[in-house]
Amino acid sequence: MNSEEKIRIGLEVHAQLATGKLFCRCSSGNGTDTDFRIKRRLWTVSGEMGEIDRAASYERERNRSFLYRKSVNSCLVEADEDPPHEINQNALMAAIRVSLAMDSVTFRNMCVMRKLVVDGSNTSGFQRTMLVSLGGYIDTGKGKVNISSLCLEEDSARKVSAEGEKAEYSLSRLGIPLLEISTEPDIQDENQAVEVARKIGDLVAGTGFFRPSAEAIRQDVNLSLGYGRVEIKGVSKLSLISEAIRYEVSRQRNLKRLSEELNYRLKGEEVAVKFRDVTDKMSESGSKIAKSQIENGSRAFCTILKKCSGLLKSGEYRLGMEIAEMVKMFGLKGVMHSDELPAYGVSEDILMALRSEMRAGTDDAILIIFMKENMSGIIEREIEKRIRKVLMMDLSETRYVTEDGHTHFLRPLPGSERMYPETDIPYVSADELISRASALGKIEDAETRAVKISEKFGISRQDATTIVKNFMEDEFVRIAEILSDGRLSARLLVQFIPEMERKKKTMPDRDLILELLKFAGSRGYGRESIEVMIEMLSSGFTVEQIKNSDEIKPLTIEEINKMIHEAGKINKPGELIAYIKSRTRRPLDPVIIKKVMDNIINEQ
Amino acid sequence: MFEALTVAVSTDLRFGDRVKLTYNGRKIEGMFISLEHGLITLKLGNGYNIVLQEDEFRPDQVTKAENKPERRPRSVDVKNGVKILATGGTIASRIDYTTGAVKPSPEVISALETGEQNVGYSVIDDILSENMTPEKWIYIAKKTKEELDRGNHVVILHGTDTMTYTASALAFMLERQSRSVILTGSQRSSDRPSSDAFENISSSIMFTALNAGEVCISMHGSISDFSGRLMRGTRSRKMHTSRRDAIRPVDGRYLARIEDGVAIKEAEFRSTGEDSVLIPKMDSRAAILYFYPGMDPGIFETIAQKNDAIVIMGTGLGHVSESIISEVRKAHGSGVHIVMTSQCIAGNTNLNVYSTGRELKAAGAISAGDILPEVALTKAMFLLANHSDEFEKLMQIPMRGEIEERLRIE
Repeated sequence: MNSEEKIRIGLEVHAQLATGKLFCRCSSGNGTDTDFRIKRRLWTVSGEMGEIDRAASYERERNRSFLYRKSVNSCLVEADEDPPHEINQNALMAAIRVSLAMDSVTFRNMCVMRKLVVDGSNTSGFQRTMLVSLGGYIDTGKGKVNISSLCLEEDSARKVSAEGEKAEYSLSRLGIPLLEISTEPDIQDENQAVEVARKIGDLVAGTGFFRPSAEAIRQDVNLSLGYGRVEIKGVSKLSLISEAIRYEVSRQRNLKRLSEELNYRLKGEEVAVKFRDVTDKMSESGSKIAKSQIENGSRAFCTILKKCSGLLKSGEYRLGMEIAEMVKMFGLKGVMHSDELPAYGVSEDILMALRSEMRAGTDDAILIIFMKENMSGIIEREIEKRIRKVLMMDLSETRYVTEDGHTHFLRPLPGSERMYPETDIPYVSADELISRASALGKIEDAETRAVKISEKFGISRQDATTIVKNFMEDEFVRIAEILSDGRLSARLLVQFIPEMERKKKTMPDRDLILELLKFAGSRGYGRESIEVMIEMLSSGFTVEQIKNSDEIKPLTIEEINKMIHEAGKINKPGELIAYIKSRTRRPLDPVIIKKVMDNIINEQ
Repeated sequence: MFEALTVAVSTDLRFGDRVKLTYNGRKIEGMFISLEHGLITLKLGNGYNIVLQEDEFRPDQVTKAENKPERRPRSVDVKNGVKILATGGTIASRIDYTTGAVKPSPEVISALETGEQNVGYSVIDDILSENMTPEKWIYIAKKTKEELDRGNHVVILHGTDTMTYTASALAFMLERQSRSVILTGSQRSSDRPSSDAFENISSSIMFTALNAGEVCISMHGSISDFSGRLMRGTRSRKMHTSRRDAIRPVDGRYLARIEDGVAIKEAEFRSTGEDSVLIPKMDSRAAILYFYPGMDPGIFETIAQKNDAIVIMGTGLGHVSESIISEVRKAHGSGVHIVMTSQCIAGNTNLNVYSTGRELKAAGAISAGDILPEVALTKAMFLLANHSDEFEKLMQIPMRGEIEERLRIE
């Protein structure tokens, strides 16, 4: 490792809360989408200080419109058609309790801010967020990891589809409360990062408002090798952290070598990108890519990249990829460059002709991009910026990670300029909640909570631990209260529902499960009926269909007796059950079976 | 420059000053934003604002901010083009920390400064529309007339709350117009990326291509963007507190829509004429009275004493209780004009169907078809000032498209 390099890792953990949405009274369940759509566009506006944020202005250059799908758990607030309502007190309470548990400095008054995000993931063009506390720490096996801040914010809308410049989002997730906990760059390696994320998850679960869902905990990784902060988005699986870090470290080291080489070659010469329309040459080239691009109305543009020959793609040098990933964000299909040509149906002759037309020297690379004419100015500037960043070794930006652990350019790092006070919400006074939170005491650790649950609901220690470790305790308590049966609730949560999820490959809506359980409770339905109900829900039946279905009704004594009468002689419960199962799929209540058998035995 | 601080510092702080302090043992650095009701707002380096109570605020160090020149809205003149007159409202607003006031937004100003050919602007007022008055309507009308005479179409940026009042007041005062006059506003302020301000302004400019010779309103036609609609100023009303399509035509239809950046006519309207004629006079001795069951007749009496015309928002076809009818008779006897409109907003009033209506008619009340209550008010003010001897007759006939004589089957 280079002596000046020191890897510094920080985490930003986002945990959803199941308190209902933050600024309206919609549910925080997985509300299904409807067919109603709203079409919008977003404009770039300046921050509180009157400056336009660089990430925001980057998105503006991309000129996009968005579709939003109404979900059953969205109202005019999510549609940005109604100002935010009062803040959700339970969500604020959870934020304060986690702050106190980390020994953070919690503010008595809070100011809701708008964080400008114009990628379409918020109908308003901003995410509402508030700083709840500063400082604090999490203990790990490798020592303390300091916390920089805890914010309470709204989750963004989930992207349903994206096609070129058009993106469609669902309003379902928008507005769900999110705790954003950022650590200082104190983390030494991926194992410690995993431990910190898990400990934070434990704390949130301990508030009683953890939202059970596949996306309940998400984290971003901040990484620095001394070449600027890189924020890596979407590290949903903790196992991806180490791969992403490894990839990013090697990418930055390669860029460092590339930077030294290019600086040496340029000797202070300015980076200049100037496109020339080479559509005529490219349409003669016989390249299929060129042909289809030009037929679709794009034109071919070529530029010299001074002294870049051999740096775009050869050995460990990958400047071409850096440029290609950036232009991709403008909806362009990518680039062709001299390090990889002849290829893509572009012959040596065409390449030579282009080089001579561009007056490229032997050290110079040439780069070809297909785009609409009005894009060329923006792309010129962006490529120049990109190369200058490498020359200066300022690699700070926001990247995202793909399943293979590779990171890709997403956008420039947003600055503090994207913050603007939410003028629709007055200051939030937290005095009363802070004293209530203090009275409740610190959040207990996972082990203590597991012991308590096991004792209170009469379930095995193992089940209780599984429930707590998987952040399901709130859900468990709710179900156990509805069914007044701890064991059955644990069985459903630990075994049956996960089994259904594996089998049907969908995660049934937790709110709908609760609704069905309440219905079952009110009818006195037992385990068998409940399992049929959940299976039907996983298979796509609606709650109404399930409630009205005959398949969930347990057989009555009269119905069973009638079957026995039709069957003739039956002696053992096993025989009876087998016979009934052969005739109907309806649930059998073991209590009823026992009653029937007792009657038969008595009669004999 | 550092200043040592001892006492009562917060009152000396100005927006932009940098402050270092210790809060519960933690060092905090921020920029002073404001002091309001004993609460101090600081902006931290990460952009978040924090709020401290004055008694928690113990700065260790303050660095005074340099004075930054304020960006003032300019005025750009134009001839034979489109002139935008900003009067305030959400469309033009942005919070100003130094005064706490709502100020013209730099976004809208810069949107106007895009160098679009033949589009000029000037900021003629800066108020929220609930603070409009008949005097301000006259002022706006005069400014509008000046621009019409320069050959300009006029787009007026205005708060949506009372847009109908201003639009209809302008409509009555402008007897003829040589160019279009279009009011527009926004439901989401222009300091938000999702603001409808920019689209509403650009739609308004596009609608001037239709040369409508009436005072119109242009806003969204749905909660989606790309839905610019043109409405008759005297037939539209704010029908929702917060939606983008809050202003809708009542008992009427949209006059035009924007499709793929082009204005397309949807209904008939008067075209622009050779010249513009303005009658800039309004008499503000008119009031609206919203009737409700059990209303104290004394309320009516008090209002009648202070006004020369009362627009009643009656129930259903235009009714009030018996005890109010006798007050109507008294007021009419002393020369007060009584105009009946309906709380139903949509549909005609009719004083012939029920005995209450007939008694009201006998007491001197008149009805004016389906005129909107707010429009009846501005029309009453216009008639009082300019045609008081023909008040009853003119109130009942459409002067600026304010009465729909045939309600369509839809």
